[in-house]
This record gives sequence, C-alpha cells and structure tokens, in this order.
Amino acid sequence: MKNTWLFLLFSGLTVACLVLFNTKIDQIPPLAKFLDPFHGFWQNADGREPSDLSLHSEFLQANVSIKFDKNGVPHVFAENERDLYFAQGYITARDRLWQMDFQTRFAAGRLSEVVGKEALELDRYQRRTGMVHGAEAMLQESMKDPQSKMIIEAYAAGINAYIEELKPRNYPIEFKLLDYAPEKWRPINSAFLLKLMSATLARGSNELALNNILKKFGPEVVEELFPDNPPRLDPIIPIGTPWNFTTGAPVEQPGVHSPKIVGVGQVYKPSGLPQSSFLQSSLRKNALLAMVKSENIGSNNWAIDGSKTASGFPLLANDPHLDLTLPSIWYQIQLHGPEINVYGVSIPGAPNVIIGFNRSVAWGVTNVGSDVLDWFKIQFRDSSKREYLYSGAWRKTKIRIEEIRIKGAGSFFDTVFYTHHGPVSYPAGTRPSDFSMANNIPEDHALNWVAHLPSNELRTFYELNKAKSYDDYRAALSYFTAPAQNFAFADNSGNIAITANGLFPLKEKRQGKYLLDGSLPDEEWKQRIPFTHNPTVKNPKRGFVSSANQWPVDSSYPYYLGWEFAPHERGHRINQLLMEASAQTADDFILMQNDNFSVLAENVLPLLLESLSASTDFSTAELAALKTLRSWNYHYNADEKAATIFESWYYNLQRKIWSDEFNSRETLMRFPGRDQTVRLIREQSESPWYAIDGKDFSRAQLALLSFKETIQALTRQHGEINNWQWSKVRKAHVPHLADIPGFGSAKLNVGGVGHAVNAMGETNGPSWRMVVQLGEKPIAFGIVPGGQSGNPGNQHYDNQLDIWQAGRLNQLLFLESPNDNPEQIENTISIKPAL
Amino acid sequence: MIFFFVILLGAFVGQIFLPWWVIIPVCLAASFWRARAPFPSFLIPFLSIFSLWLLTASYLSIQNDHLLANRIAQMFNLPVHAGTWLLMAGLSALPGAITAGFSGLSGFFLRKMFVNR
Repeated sequence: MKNTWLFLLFSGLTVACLVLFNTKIDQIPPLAKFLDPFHGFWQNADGREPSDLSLHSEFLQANVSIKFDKNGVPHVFAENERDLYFAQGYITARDRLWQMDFQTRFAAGRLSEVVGKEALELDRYQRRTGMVHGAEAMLQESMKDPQSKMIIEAYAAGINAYIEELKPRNYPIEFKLLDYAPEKWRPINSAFLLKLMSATLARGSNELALNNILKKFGPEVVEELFPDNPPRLDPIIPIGTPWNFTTGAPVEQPGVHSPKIVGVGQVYKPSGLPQSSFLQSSLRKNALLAMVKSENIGSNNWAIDGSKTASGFPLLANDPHLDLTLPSIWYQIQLHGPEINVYGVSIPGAPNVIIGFNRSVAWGVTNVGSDVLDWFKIQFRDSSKREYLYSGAWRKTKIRIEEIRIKGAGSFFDTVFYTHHGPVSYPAGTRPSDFSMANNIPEDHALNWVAHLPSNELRTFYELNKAKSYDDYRAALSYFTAPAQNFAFADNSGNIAITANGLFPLKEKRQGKYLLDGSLPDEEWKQRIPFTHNPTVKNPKRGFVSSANQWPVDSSYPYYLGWEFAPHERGHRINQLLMEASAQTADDFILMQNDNFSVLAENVLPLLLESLSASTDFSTAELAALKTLRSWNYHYNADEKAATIFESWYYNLQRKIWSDEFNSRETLMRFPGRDQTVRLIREQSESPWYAIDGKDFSRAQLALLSFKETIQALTRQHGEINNWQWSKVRKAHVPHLADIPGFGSAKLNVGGVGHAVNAMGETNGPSWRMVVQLGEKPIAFGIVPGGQSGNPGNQHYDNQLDIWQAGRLNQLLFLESPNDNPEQIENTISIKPAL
Repeated sequence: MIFFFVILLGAFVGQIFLPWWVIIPVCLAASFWRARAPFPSFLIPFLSIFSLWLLTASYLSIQNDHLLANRIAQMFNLPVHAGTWLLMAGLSALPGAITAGFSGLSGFFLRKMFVNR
C-alpha cells in the first residue's frame, strides 16, 4: 500500500513538473520547453559558418539562386519575376519572421491574441482608427492591378513556403518566449506594414490641441504662436522655381477657411498605459509618439548633379530617421530578374526595394509632414448612432464589428460607426482615460485620413526598382498615395530631381488646422491636388536637391499643404553645406551624414550667453559650464560637454516659457513649435510669455534662472562637469522591438541630435544610411544600426552596429550575375522547381 | 551504468522526434526496468538528463560563440562574464533533470507495486 502511495506521490510530482515547466506564467516562458536544448532557445544559437542549402518548391517555374555576402545580405537571382518575389518572401521570412508577425499584429490590432488583455486598448485603438479598413482598401485596389497582384501573391507564397517547412524547434526565439506559433501569411499583411508606415509618419494630429488653444487664447495668439507660415524658411523646392503645371486637370483655386470652434471641451487625463511587462514599455513608446506630430521622426535626403562631384556623375544620399529597433527596421536585399537589378532596403513583410538604386538610377525618401488627417464633428440623431446629420438631413452610419480575440479570454466585440468621412474613433464618453495614445482624439469626431483611401503604393516601388530614367521616376511616383514622401532622385544621365509626393487633399488655407464640422459639406476635402501639381523640381540651377522634412514650398505655391512642417534647421544646414560643396565624393557625403552641427545652438546660444553677462553671482560649477559653452563650436559630438549643457538649458528654458500657459492637466494643448520659441527668444527681450504664473520675468532673468537650475540638475545627476559628455549623459541605445532585456544593444557612443543632420535621439535616428555614386556602374555604400538577421543568436543580428556607430558605411556588393565576385560570397541557397 | 546510458540514449533519440516531455516515459520505463533502490532511481535519471541537456546546450553554445547564451542570461538578469554560458547551460538542464528524477522515482515505485504483490 505504501508503494502505491509513493508511486502516486511521485507520478503526481512528475505531472506537476510537466505542467509547470510547459506553461507560460505571466512573463516567464514555459521553462523546460524554452530551456530544452533540443527544442528551446538553444536551437536558435546559429553556428558561425552559414551553410549552402538546396531545396525544392512547387511554386517555382525555374531555378532561383540566392547568394549571401559576408553581411548576410541576400542577392537573389531568378529567371522570372514571379519566382523573384517568391524568393524575396522566402528569404525575408527566414531572417525576419517574428518581426513580420509582430508588426503585422501591431498594425492590425491583433496583439491581444498573443499577449493577452494588456494589449486590448491598443488593439481597439488600431481598429477604431481604421487600420484594418485602410489595409483592406489598399489590398483591394492593389489586387486590381495584375502586376501588383502577382507580386503580392508570389511574395506571400514565398513566406508561406518557409513557414510550412518550419519545425517548432526552429521557430524564431520570440515565438518561444511568448509561446505561440507563426500563422499562415495573408496578402493583406503586406498592406498592414505599409499602413504601419503611414501610422508612424502621418497619424500625428494636432487638431484637438489647436482647437483647445484657439478656445482658450483666441485667434490672435494662435496667429502669433501657431501661424500658417514659418518664421524661417529654406524650402525643399528652391525659392523662385516656376510652377510648370502644364498637365493635369485644372482645379479651382481654394479660398481661406474660416475656423469655427466645434466640439465641446474635452476633458483629458494624462496617464500612461498600465505597467506590467516589457511589452508595455514598447507600447508606451509608440504611444508617446502618437501624441503629437513628433519632431524626432524625420529624415534627410539630397542629391547633387555632376557639376558638383569629382566623377562628373550625380551622387545621392538618404538616411531615414525612425525609432531604432533590433531586429533592424530595414532588410537589405538585391533583386535580379530579366528586366530588373536593384539593391536597397525593404520593409520585412512588403515586397520590392523601398530605398535603393539600380544600374541607372538611385532614389531616397523623407517624410512630408503635410496635413492629411482631419477630424469631423459628428452629430448623431440619437444614442443608437444609426444616423448622423449631414447637409440638413440624416444619413445612415455603416457599422463595422471588430472581433478582437484575447489570449486566455474570449473575444471582445467592438462596434465602430463609420460615416462617409470615416470611422468615429471614440463616440462621446467612450475614449479610455488610461490609454495615452488616444488622448489627442476628440470624441464624437470622424477620422478622415488619406491612409484609408484605396491605393497601390507597391506599384511605385516596383516601377522605381526598374526605372532607367527621369521619366520612369515620374511615372512611378504617380501611383503613390501615403505616407507622402519627398522622393529624391538621381540618374546616370546626369539628372537630379525631388518631388514632395503623395495624395494631398485639396484644401482651403487653414482647413483642418482645427476640428471640422462634419454636418457641413463646405468643410469637407474637395478633391486632391493633381499629381502633376505636386511640388517638384528637376535639375535646379543650384546643382542640388535636398529635403529634411521642412516646408516643401514657399508662399508662391498655389495650394495649401499644411500649417506646420519640421523646423528649417536641418534642411538649412544641408543646403548650406551643399551650396559650398564642389568635387564631392561618396566620402564627403558620409561625413555630411555625420554632421553634428546645431543651427539651433548657433541661433540662440550667443544671445543667451550675452544675457547672462550682467550677472556676476556664479558658482564654480556654473563658471566652468559657462567657459565650456563659450568655447563650443555648436557640434553635438559624442564627447562634447557643452552639448549636454546647452541641450538641457534650452529644454528648461522653453518649458519655463510655455508650460504655465500650454500645459494643463484638464485640457490637451501643446507648445508652440521650436521655430516659434527661437523667434521669440531672438526678437524679444521682454514678453508677456516670459511671465511665470503671473509673475513677470525678462528674457535675461529667465535665461539665468533656467541656467542655474540646469547646472544644479546636471551636477546632482552626473557629478562634476568632467562627466557631462553628451554620449554619456544621453544613453542612446537600440532597444529590441518588444523591449526584451538582453536582446537590445548596449549603450552607444554616438553624437548627434534630432535637429542636426546626424539626427540621433536616445532611441531614434538614422535607421539606414545610404550613399550612391552613379556612373557606368553604381558604387554604393550603406549601413543599418543592427544587421540582417532577426535572430539574437545570429552573428548578423547586430554586426553592422559598431560600424554604424563609428559613422562609417559598408561598400555594398552590387552583383551583375550569380557568378560575379565569387570571393565575396559566403554561401548559397538554391531553390528549384519541384521534381 | 546501463541505467544511466539507457536514459541518455533513449532521451536523445526520443527528443529528436518528440517534445521535451518524452523524457518522462523514457525515465519511467528505464527506472521500472533497472532501478533497484529509491535513491538511485531519482539520482540516475536526474544526472542522465542533466548531462544530456548540459552537453547538448554546451555544444550548441560553443559553435555559437556563446552569443545567445549571454543574451538570455541578460534577459534573466544574470551578469555576463566568461563562464556565463556554462551557468546558462546548467540552469537549462535543471527543469528537465528534476522532472526526470521524479519520473524515475515513479518508475521505481510502480515496479515495487507489482513486485510486492
């Protein structure tokens, strides 16, 4: 009997171990499953030497050969395009499957399915802002184009071919950590990834904040601090460029919009997401981004013609600034087919090359911060929300039920009411108070956003990938809707060009700066600005084109694009450097991408220092700081202590100026833009805005006060001035996409700042640096802050990071045939049609 | 010795085809067959699986230059130094080894139930 009891005891303990070690508990992965060297994370510990591989696929019509260089970049050679995009899908999935899965789920509002109810509000937010609606519209439109349809389907088939052969032991490590399995790839996922780009770059919204400011301060203050034209301008299209609108439909010249204050005062409670996991901090980061249009997310591109280069052929550079992550945002690839041979970076999960070059042309993109998103006040007939007022009559809403499946719980069904403007993201009383991403969304307003329109952006990239000339470039751009980008271009016939491109709604001046009234047809967007009227310039006299998210045009442009773009500083610096440039080489461009010069510091620091000269009462630390600042050359270099002092001094000063007026716990508002702060500081030694809580201050007093506080705080946090090096204080790093500890980078030793050409922030900055020298054969350089592999256990996960950190670029291997440069090839994957 | 190696080999082959829990029937059966006392019926399966998992993890870690072992250690908040990978390999072997030990004890007492009757 005793033996029976002991048997039951120990078999019970065995079963307990089985259950305990096979179950994910909170953030702890199923331990034995995860640690088992035969199936768990150890299986993701890739060997040093990648090996050759030969496999078969029923999908293929001919042989495909994928050559890998020493950085793990695939060079895909196919005999037809269907096979080519299949191979792109296959190999991207091999290197980035979890990232593709996670980002798709993020965009589609499907994170709750794998992380549980903590992601519910985020999922609801994505659904309620119409992300699925927009992706469906895009897929439907793209599938009407046989070319795009072929590419999307072949790419998806390639991804699925990889997933089908994948055994659980080989799942990417994050699947093992979060304990779920990859699912079949759907063509709409590629649309989701492009919608995610729109969400990152063009979902920012200031309408509610501006509406509240207009209500609180009146039109004069808005005119002074949030004007429709910038105080300083160095536009993308050079001033004086004639607008040659020779083609395209003539459009009615819009007038000026008179703002009405619509919507009731919205109570806003600032708060973060509930804190419970590593995921949350990544969600929170994205949440903060969406609050207001972010200044940290921007990019540079420029190109110069042969008159300014050593070779006589154009040179082009591009560095898109995004939230940096590991796995890297971009995936490098070369695609070679019968009529195509392109190298560049792709978005994992979307076919084609997004930024790159071929034998004849090179192109790069930066974001256009135009106003392509508006909120329309909706008046529902009754609480059923089945009808809403429009043009004096009741119109029916469309109902869309969003099912959000939640891990460990049932489904959550969310009803979203759609008007002809778009979805009513949060009807009155439904906006969650504990979800900061939604804070800038006005209740009972419908969202009208270009990212909801049917579109076929993939065609743009497909055509650019094959482009041979300026005309091909223009034809490619005509397909592009969102997110609007400044497409810089250069070809080896000597042309350079730039186009602020995308679908820009045709608006009255100021229309959509505030909330709009959805019941009045007059308030609606009319048509679009015809593509041929989008701002563009070809071969300007000055010999270069450039963009850095600043205003695309001066006031001679006949259409309204928006009231606020990135401040002029970065673009101005680039233009200054290019104006003086001659006999340029790729090395010069690489140096320029690393330029840390701060136009902001140059504009305000001398004045601030001068305003301190009347004071004599300084501590030793303060005197040391002043000495450091006085000898500073305005470069945010990694070892520069002055950069640290100036950065936090300016930050404190502008907070002192604006926070008592424009920061409120009850009402969502925002600070005036940096160019307005600089204007105020430079032009006015006395101003009512300098007052703090009713007590008057002068510029000099405020400068002194904020300086003393800055030095005090720096001393408290970092000790003596010898420890104040910019890179030491800032702690820049590249986190993992889901912020898993240990999977991110160490602290980086880098300079730069958001408003300098080297626009490095704490965790955002140049996500891909590329320089292309055109010629008989292109010579190109590129680097990502990470690597090709998405596997933290692979040497190519972050092997490019040190080179990126040092400000250098790798020469890119541009192959003409599978047998070109065999000494540079590490291994080969051959895929053959099924036997 | 046979007891130890039967488990080692059985678990190795079994785990090629089946998830980690295949070690439970392997240890149960081996213990039923070979175990003659309660203490070894825990210890031998424990050591056998511990060795198998430790060696396999070590082999995988060495050919990976310990890249991943060090990252996982950081994930578990462990300091990274030259020997971290070995600690990770040892820690990794524990859940399996404990389960194997209990399974071995179950096998031993299962046999006693039949033998005593």
